[in-house]
Amino acid sequence: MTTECAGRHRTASESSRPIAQVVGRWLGPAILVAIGLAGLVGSLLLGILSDGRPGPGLWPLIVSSAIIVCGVSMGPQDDVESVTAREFRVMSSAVLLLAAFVVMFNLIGIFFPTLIVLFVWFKFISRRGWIQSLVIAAATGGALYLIFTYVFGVGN
Amino acid sequence: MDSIQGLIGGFVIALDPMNMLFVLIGVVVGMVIGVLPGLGPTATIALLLPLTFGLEPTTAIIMLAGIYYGSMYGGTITSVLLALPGEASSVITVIDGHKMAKNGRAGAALGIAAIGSAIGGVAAAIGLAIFAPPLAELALKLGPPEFTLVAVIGLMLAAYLGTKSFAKSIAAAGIGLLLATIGQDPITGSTRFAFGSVDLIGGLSFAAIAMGLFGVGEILFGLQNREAGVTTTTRIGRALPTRREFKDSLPAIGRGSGLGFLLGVLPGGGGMVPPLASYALEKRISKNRANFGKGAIEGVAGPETANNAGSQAAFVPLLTLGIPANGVLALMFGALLIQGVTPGPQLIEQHPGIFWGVIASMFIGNIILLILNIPLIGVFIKILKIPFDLLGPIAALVTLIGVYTINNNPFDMVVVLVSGVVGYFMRKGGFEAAPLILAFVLGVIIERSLRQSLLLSSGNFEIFATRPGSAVLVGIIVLILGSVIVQGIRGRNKTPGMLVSEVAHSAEDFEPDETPGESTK
Repeated sequence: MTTECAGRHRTASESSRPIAQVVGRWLGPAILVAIGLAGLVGSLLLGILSDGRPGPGLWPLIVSSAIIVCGVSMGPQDDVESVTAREFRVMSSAVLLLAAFVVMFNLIGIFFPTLIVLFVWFKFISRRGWIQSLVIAAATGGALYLIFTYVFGVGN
Repeated sequence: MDSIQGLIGGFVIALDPMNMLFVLIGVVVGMVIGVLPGLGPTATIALLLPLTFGLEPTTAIIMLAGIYYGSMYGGTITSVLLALPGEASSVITVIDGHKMAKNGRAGAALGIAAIGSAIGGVAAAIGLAIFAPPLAELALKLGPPEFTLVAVIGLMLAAYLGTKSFAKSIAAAGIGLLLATIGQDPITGSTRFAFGSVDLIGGLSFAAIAMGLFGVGEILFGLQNREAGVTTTTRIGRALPTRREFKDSLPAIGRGSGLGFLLGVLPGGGGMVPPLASYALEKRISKNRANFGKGAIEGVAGPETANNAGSQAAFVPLLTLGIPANGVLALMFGALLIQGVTPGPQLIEQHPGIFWGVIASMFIGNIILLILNIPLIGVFIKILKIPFDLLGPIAALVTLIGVYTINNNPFDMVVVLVSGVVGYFMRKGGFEAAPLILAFVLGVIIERSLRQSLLLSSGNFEIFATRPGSAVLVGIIVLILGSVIVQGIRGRNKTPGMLVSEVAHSAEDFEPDETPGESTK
């Protein structure tokens, strides 16, 4: 990479860092306030009083208000750990694999979904070798199948 | 006396072969996960929840309790040998314990930690046996207004003594309370926040949220700091402390037991607070205080004792009031609920077997831990070599399948996954997950007593101020909130729990860079 390119890269990321930092520091409180407001609206719709007695919306109203107060009073947060691009990739791959497992499990049972998901995980996320990944994935699949089917009686 | 009879009955139950087997399983599992960094008692208990449904309630709690205090023992091992605290509460032990290990006295440190913990645990169990029944009687006199306030105070104290900012912990608790409202209104039966989904009408599964938040969440978070396994060649040295060392440690152990018990009874007071308080106390008044930081055995004995005493004392609010004091106990509360047992002041009368059985089992569990601790150290060192990057995904799948075994409902698996992602981002955002699950579990109870109170007073909130008991409790709430606000204005903005956590973590950086095993011999 030429020094010009490197220079341009540097200024580009430098200018985006403050924005990312502001977002990071305010994201938590913002999400809380959003949840609180949603809860507030929902509670009002449910009704705070019914026939002069406490209604289903009363408690959610109290809780939502407390959440809003917390969100507003906590201010910008400084102890936020940033999620690097690499971490996000790893995490979302893991979540996608687990979601795939849930779907497959409900369709075809324990053994094959375990084998497939673990193999992909070991090979591509944990970066283990082909054979090691395959063997451990298969062994785990078998073990889980036996344990959950015979000990826990999970229907397949 | 009723208590003695109860306790004897408890021992009969605890000595039952099935319960003995499960307390053994519990303490061994607890020790193992205490040794493994990254997997804590909360995550493990969450993962094992499905297993408890096939067991008797007493057996289930005995096992889960064993895991809890067993993990306190396990965390010590890595603190002493590797300066790597396996549990947050073992951080203090690193200071003098690891120094002792470097001087070739690892065995003595581990030995005194085991002995101190056993004594602390037994002392706490005695404390439980003595104080819990009268407390339960007192609790029965609480009316709905007082009960509501006590539960709220429990949540606030847990946030106050928690390791993250007060506002964040209360916010997390708020989310937990809100999540608990999904489903049917406990009094009128109307559906709330279900958005027409059949799955949501029944409310969210406590076990699914717990397993997702703590189990899967931990695993996702742990993906970024993966160690393929830890090796050590530290010499163990003599396996036991000398008679002299033991005698010297006794005052520290005694003080640690008392301090640990008192602090542990407070909601949120378990965890890091007792060991740190004990270390601070011993550093001030111990005869050997000059040697603290250089390998003083009192610096291990006191905190370890307080640690174990504290974690067992934390059962007091759960067994007497039915209010769990921290995340781990919230899980046990949930486990009991699903078994059809509602913890509360009436537990000692309605289910004396559970009440006394758990207490008696603590005596037994501590003895077992003491016996097992020393021979098993070699085994635990080997366990540390297991690669965590393989263990993580396997545990995640076990969690997903496990939650399915509870209700045969695929939706629970989705809840686990979503909770896991939420847990991951909460961790990243600096939020603690324990208040959320604590509040989720308490949510229904608080709402029910709140509405009962309002029914009593015909919709008037003044009832909370006019009843004497409630007035006192409101005063306590005002005190806590006031203290937090004043600190915020002063700009200090740190709860006691956060301060404790910071001091404890600076203890971690106490060791200069050295490879383990390079002792002076």
